[in-house]
Amino acid sequence: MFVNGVPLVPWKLDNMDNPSISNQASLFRLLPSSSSTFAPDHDWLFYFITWVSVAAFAIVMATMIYFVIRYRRRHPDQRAQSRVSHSTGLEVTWSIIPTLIFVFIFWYGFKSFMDKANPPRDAYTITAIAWTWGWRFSYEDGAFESPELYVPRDRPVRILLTSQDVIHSLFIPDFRVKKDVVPDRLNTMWFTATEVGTFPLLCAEYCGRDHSEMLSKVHVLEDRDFRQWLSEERQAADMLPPLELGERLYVNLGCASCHSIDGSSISGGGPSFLNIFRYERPLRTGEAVMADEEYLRRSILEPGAEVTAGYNNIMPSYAGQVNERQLAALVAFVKAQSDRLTAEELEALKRLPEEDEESDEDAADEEAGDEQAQPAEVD
Amino acid sequence: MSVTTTPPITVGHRQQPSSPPPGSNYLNARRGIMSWLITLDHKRIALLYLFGVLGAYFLGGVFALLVRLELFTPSPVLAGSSEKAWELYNHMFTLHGAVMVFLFIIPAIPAIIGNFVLPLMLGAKDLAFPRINLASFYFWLAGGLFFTYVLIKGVLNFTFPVLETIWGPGGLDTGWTFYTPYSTTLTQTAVVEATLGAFILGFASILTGVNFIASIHTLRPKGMTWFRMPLFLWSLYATSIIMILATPVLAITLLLLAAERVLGVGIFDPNMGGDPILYQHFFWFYSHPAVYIMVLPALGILSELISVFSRKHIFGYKFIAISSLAIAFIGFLVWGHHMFVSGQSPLANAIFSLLTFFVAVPSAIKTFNWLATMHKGSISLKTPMVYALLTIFLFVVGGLTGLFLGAINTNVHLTDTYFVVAHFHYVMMGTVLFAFLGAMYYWWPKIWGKMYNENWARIAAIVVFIGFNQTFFWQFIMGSQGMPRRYATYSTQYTRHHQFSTVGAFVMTAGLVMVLANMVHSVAVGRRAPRNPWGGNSLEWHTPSPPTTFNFDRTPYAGDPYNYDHWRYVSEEEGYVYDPPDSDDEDITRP
Ligand code: HEC
Ligand SMILES: [Cu+2]
Ligand SMILES: [Cu+2]
Repeated sequence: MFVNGVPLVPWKLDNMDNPSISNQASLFRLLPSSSSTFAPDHDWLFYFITWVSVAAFAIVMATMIYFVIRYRRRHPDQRAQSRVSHSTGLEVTWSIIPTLIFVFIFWYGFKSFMDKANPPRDAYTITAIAWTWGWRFSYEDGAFESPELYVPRDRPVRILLTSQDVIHSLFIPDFRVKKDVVPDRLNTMWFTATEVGTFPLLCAEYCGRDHSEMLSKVHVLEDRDFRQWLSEERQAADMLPPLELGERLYVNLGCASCHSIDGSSISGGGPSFLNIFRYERPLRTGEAVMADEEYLRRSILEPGAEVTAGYNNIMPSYAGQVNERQLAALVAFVKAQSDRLTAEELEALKRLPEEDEESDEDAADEEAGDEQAQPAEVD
Repeated sequence: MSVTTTPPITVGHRQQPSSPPPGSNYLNARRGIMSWLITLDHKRIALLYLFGVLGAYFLGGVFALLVRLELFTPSPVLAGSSEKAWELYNHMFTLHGAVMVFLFIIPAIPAIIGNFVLPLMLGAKDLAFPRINLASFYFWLAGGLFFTYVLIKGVLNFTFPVLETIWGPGGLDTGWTFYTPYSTTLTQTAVVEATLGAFILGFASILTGVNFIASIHTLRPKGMTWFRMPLFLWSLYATSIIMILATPVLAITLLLLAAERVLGVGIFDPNMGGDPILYQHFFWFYSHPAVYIMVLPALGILSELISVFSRKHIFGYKFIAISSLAIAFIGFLVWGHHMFVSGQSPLANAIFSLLTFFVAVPSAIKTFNWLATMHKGSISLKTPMVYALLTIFLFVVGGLTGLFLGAINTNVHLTDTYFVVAHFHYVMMGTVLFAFLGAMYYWWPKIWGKMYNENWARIAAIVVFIGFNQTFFWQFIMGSQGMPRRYATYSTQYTRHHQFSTVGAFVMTAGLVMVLANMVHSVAVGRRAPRNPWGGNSLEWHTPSPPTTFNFDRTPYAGDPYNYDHWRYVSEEEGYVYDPPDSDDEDITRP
């Protein structure tokens, strides 16, 4: 989002620059870097069609221009030099030659698509969740989520695509892959990245206001680094205090694209989180509710049940999308934006709950232990 | 190789001195506003369409420029905050696309040029159903005005929020494709009203299609067998078949969409047990053939222009005629190529891809036939021919870039990017607009009885052409680099491409203003047009410019429309004069 020309969430915009295409060389460059195993086939066909097209175009134009010059009408009554108006031989020739070329292009496009239609069995699986307007990627059966996609190099990765609301489309230009993300339908895509680096990931299916900012990044890491990242993220996800986790989720889950925290109202979005907690909320029905913790939970899980006056019922439900810890963290984050929260209460949100601290650490240890065992499992 | 030997064509009397006496042509036969608004004369209805469609084109064009302006830089241009700017952008590109598709490209050639020329080419007094013709215009007008009203409301509400308190919310931000579930759940815009507008517009299309088919079947004059019909009629015939078969599908789809939004019937919304992909199947089942509704008449015009201005019989008449029908029929079987990445099964992808390549073959055949027509012709570079040649250029670029999109593998990377935007602008906007302008210049003398300034017309054509390529060429490169379509903002890697493109749009606008100025100038003070300024031989050139209300004073006899042997250039006329070999022409007209 921009406010007065300044990007509000800066990482979103950085993202858009494709590091594989330098700004200087970009004007005539046809394709981005080829960084997956899909790219070589695609690029071969792309350049093949390009050259066929250039040749066909040149032939047609050259013939046309030559005829125009050669057979120009010099005086208004000049007649044509020939009366030939038909030749089955020619017609058949120029029907068959393009047909053969077309069938070849079809066949190559089809074959290279089919070769890679299904992911290998040992592919590493990640779930991508799209919503208006952002992405998040869920790892290790939902153990943690990341707003950006991290994948190992040289290992097939399968992505299960789910959408929380409308149709989106996951597009990674440098990998030459794209697949629609359709609500209620589990599409999959897969690829094997071949280059370490960071690449843009975009939404290619129009999905409303911030469609063009529905961006993320793909980080391709060496397998070792990838595993290390996995275990760190898993620990971090379990160790964050509620408010900090809530703040992350506020961005990662896309609340930020509809709810501000400074009191301003986002066009096409919802009310600001500023001073909601412990305030009277007017509802569309004309009633008013005191926004307590329960109300906030309901607003996130069942947004349609109590719609705030002056807004439309467009917020997606997060039931089933967030676990109990995440829900509590989101509520904590909304609470923290209210001036009716006492300083002590705020401090409490910044800490991990005392009695849980130990067991949390235990859990983290256990999971770190799991990680050690992981390689054997996934390789 | 065979040589055409077909009997000449005549209308039963020799060329009269040009321009009929005042008060006797269709333009001045009757006066008063009502004589236009309730006219049954196909030529006057064509002119009603002309002004209506040009109005729509103007509106769509203004929004094209606004869209290009917003894209001049990645940060918001037309509004202060990005949320506002992006929402406005979404309204604007929707309005541009929907108005251009439904109100300009689809009706432009059939409803304006077709309406005017089809009965003349048939040597008929009018279409088979003149009243239905008028009704179709009013359906178009009602649907069009309502549709525009709904869409423009959204944009104006943005700019002047006070308006919303007066006329309520409106607008549309779904793109012209109305994809579900966005259109049935998330968007807050006037989807139902907009679909109603498009629904009404559909009737105009269907009625025109029915009328054309009936006219071609029943009104052909003596001598005009199916394979002696001008190719433009073949293309209108093929187009009409698509119109009456495909448009009802769109209408039903839009009704279902409205039913879901209003009545909560779950058809496309997965939350109600519907399937959003089903919507795409329905939508493209209409909208792919609709591409041919737009482009086939344009190709028909090219066949006319290239033959007349090469003064040589069209090459491969039957192949061209049949290829129009082939395109119309195969065109119904390729809609799935819009959905290669939707999760459609690989088998379906393969079939749709293969059929897509088959539909490309007839287009290639047409192009080669046009070139062969020019071979050893007598090529005159009058304005209509300049447009025809430029159209071939654009059509070839559009067609060849279609190969990238037809192959599944490359489609995956390119679909939903600017490559597609560039491709369909070359095919739809490039080919159709240029052929339409070529047709306007070609039949202009017949329509108005006035000539225009050739040099200005040709210069304007070049300016529009340069502007067009400047606008759209860069979009291929952006697309293959990975810039998705319908983006209101973009990576700085594309800034220069977008800026070149925006500048191009203004160059093109300048060219179009020149076109318009020349036309207005021509109607106001243009030189009187001869009966046949180009030497064409289809029947409309055998009647005065402009024709009388009933077109011909005798039912003409039609020979081969592409035989130019008997037209002789007469410099006092500044046009061609019919000169049958046999002085006793009664014998030829009444065989
Ligand atoms: C697509 C835009 C959108 C997104 C994304 C979104 N919301 Fe909302 N939200 C709304 C709208 C609109 C309302 C007001 C209407 C309603 O109550 O349903 C709302 C209402 C709320 C309320 C009640 C506010 C009040 O006025 O009392 C809370 C709390 C809330 N959202 C939390 C969240 C959280 C937490 C997230 C992220 C997990 C989120 N929302 C994501 C649009 C959104
Ligand atoms: Cu999107
Ligand atoms: Cu199509």
